[in-house]
Amino acid sequence: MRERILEILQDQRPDVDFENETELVSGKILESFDIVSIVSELDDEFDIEITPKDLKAENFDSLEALENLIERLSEE
Amino acid sequence: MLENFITFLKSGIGVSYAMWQYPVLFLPVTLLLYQLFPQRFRRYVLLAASLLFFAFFSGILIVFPIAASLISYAAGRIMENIAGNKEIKRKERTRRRKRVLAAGIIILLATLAVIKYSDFAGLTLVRISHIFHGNFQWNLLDWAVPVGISYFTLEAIAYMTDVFRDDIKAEHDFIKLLLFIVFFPKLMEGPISRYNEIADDLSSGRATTADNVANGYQRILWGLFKKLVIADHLAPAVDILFQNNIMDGSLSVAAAILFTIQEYMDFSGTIDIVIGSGITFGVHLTENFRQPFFAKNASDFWHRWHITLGTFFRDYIFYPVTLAKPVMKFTKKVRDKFGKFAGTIAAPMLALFLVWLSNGLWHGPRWTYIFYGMYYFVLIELENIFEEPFLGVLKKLKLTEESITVRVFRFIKLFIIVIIGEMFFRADNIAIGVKMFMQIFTNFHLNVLAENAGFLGLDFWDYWTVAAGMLLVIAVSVLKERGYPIRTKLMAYPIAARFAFWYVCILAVVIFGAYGNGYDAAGMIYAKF
Repeated sequence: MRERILEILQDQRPDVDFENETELVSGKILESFDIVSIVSELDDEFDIEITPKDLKAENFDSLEALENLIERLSEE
Repeated sequence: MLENFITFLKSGIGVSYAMWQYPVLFLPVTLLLYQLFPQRFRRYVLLAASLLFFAFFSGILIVFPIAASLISYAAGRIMENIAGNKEIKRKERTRRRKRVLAAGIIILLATLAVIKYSDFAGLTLVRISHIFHGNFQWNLLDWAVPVGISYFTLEAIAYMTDVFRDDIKAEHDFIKLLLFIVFFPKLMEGPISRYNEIADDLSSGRATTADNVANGYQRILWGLFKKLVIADHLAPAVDILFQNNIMDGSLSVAAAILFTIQEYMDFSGTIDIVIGSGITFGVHLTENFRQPFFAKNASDFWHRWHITLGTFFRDYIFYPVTLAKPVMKFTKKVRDKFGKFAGTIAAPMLALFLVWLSNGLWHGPRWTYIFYGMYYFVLIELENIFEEPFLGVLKKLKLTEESITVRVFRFIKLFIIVIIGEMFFRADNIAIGVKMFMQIFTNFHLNVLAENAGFLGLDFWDYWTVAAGMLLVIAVSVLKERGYPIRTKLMAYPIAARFAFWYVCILAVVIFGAYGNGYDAAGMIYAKF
């Protein structure tokens, strides 16, 4: 799963070091356009539904955080 | 006598935070009372001061923010009850909660719409009917607009939505919610605040400290400087330039630039006063500006200018619309058919359109404001589309984004975009805006500007005062943008030097501020939105 998420992220923003970055949103690295695009790909890929309430820094700041979010949403 | 005193207070506070009655009388008295009362009563002091402050402007219309608080309070509690009812299935609970949220939002928005926009809508219908030779009539309703309604309506909506999203718990303490809605420093011009950011501090009743008061007043002083020394000095010139709009292109450019400076100094200066006032009580309101003219493009500009309006639209319009199921389906279709780039650009377009339409309308019921919103919508879309080709060109030219050439180019481009936008924003109507814009290209003579410079209501010293003030603000902005800790460094100086410094600052505001004849209480620009 991790690899697939990483692929989607890098596809959107090849200029970002997603494996080490921990402030993707709070550091204003990802913009709202990036986030929307990433969300639509993640929804498709993992058959989940990310809603506006999930769009918080704590869910999007790092690769790990995203992994956790997707795991949680897949269980629901 | 009391009546006289109230009239006197009203003459200042009912106009602007920058009138001396506010920083010299209203705020210190409130602070003193706040500190004197026992902890559990302190929030009532803040509440009473806030209600009084509101009443200075809008009297009995105080029922509006109270009603907005009651509605959002009730919506929050009902949503909480539904969430706790485990007899209902989860999906059904969400559906019901959504209905409550929708009802709350509709009531608040409908109130705002009727009060602020009904005459505008009515007159527009009259025009349309005339085009089709109809005979539609509209009697002006001329509603009195409660001060700050555009701000507290959004705050109440954000509160309810955050409860719906489980970001915050529904508030059980009504006074706490009411105080959040009406807290006097942010009542008139924002920043548009979020419940979880300030409500606890506001209601804590924590004693304030000498440090808070000193820090807060330093910020207030800086705001007064921007507003009184720069913005209000420019006010008469801007008025004259926009009144005599059809003369020469050089005057259009001067009007656009001076109004942009005036508005930035007015709005960001007032926000400094607001945030400083919050600090004196130990309440940290969200920053609303971050050196906007250092932005790399128009979209970035709006991440730095009136920040809380932008984040409100992002969180409560842009994300919900783009993530709505039909829109997501559309995104996928576009992406599958035309590739990733098209998907990234096309799908948010609808949401972005709504965001900028709302932005324009939020400023008020005028076509120039709607034009202003659409102007940024188009420009930001264009920037999105051309960003990648632009980076490609840079690569070919072997230029990096950080190189001075690129940064200067970007600054000039942004500056032109911003001043043209502000020119339309301030113009009496779109037709005049277009004429002012066109004459920049068809009828531009610098000598006309030179000949008229003496007739703009500013004398030689006014120009110098504004220029010196601007230099100081620019210098501070450069330092801030580079992350230089200005205030910490200042605090490191010996106490005598610090006092001397602040004394000079106060004197500067008092001496160079724009008061008296010709400067009759320039109202705050952003309070009328």
